[in-house]
Amino acid sequence: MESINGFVQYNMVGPMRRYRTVFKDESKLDIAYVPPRLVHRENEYRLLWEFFRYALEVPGRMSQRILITGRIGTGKTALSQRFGMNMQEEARRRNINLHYLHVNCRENRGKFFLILLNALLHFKPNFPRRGLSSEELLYALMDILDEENAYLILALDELESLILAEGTEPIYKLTRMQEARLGKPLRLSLICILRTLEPLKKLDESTRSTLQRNIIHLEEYSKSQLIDIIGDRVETAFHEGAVPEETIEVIAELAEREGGNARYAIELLWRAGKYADANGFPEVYPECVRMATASIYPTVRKDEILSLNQHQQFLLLAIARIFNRNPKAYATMGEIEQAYRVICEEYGQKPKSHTQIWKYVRQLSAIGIIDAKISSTGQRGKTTLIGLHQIPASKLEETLSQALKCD
Amino acid sequence: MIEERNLEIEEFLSSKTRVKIIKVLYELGELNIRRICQKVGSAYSIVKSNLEIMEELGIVQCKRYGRIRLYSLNNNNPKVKLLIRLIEVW
Repeated sequence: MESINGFVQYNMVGPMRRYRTVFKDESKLDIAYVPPRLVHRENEYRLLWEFFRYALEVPGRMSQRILITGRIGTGKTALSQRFGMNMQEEARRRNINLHYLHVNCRENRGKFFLILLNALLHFKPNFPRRGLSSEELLYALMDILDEENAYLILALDELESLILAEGTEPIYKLTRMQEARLGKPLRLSLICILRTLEPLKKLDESTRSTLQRNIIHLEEYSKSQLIDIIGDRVETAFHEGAVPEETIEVIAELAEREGGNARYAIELLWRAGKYADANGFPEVYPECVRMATASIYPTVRKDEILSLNQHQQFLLLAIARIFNRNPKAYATMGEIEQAYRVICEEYGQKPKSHTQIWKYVRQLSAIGIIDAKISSTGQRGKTTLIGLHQIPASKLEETLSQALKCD
Repeated sequence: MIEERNLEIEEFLSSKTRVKIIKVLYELGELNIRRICQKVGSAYSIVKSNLEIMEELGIVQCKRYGRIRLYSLNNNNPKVKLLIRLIEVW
């Protein structure tokens, strides 16, 4: 491996060409990467520490419930994770057995059982996956915390999915758990992460008021803030001079238009780098960004769509086709079922039952790929109306058709 | 408090199931009976009765979480330490 003009060149064996890359460390652009310093989130980070300071000073005397809200890409997950990592380290220094566990409710299909199982498996990796109800799991979790004299900060990311799938009961149980353990140390704290406070309206008043006492709202990033964030990542992920200022500015502008979405900016930056490498450019030119924008859906990741099961993909393809051929905003459940059956026939598969399709609709809605709502006036009877607001229907149809062809 | 029963070493080690249980718990830590059965390859009733004997001898300990019981080796027992050493050396 040699370095020419700041770019690493790899000597490939055989007929492959010498490969040079603009990247120094691509992993710094991974969606799961949590930077050591959160640019422009210093105040919110300090506030979070203030909320939990007491838990470190006098463990077991107080449990916390914090809400972190903000639009997509405003740094909610990164803030919570960075706080969690640092909090664990500080606790270790003070000989406090504190654990931070980040669970994404959407990835667990909004199932309270799976979320709790995740927490239990963190402490007891061989805990049986069947045999207990969610409530029993919660009690088992508290027993384990007592037994190990441990404290848990449970971060429930994308809490909307949990509320949508299971209603208000899980939140009620989590927040009221401590009351049933009179005299015992308070071991479970919650960080609830969600986009808006809207889903919390479904909670009963007392649970809502308990939860809403400490809210950290993350404002959308401005263009200049996005420039700083992108600049910070460029420094760690790219070779010096590989990303010119104007490229950073273009990305910041595009991400600002997407609601100050830093996640979108970072993904765009990575993809633009890939285009630069693929074309053998020594720098990530603004043109690379333009090419990259065409391949990213602002709010839904392509791999999320591709990880769906075959019938979910059929259903999504049916939805995409309807909206691709019809400019309306919503389609009825009946229309979608009909289109889904046509697709099943096309692919020689037996269609699933109405109940199963309805479940898929709920799951896709919980993931955020589609929007489902109950019809109101102007429609005979009640039906579920489905909309597709996050992804262009044409792009979705193209992606799914290709994926299903590959299957 | 379970009263410890007396069992000669040759009698204790004469059971293949008991030796396998010790090996499995040593390798995997805490397990419920079903998982132990799967790993050991013996019937539930056989594993259960052997676990009861081993618990009485203080070789294993059982923790209850609602309806779930998790068994693990009682590492405070010097006999367990020697048994582990034996497995490692073997």
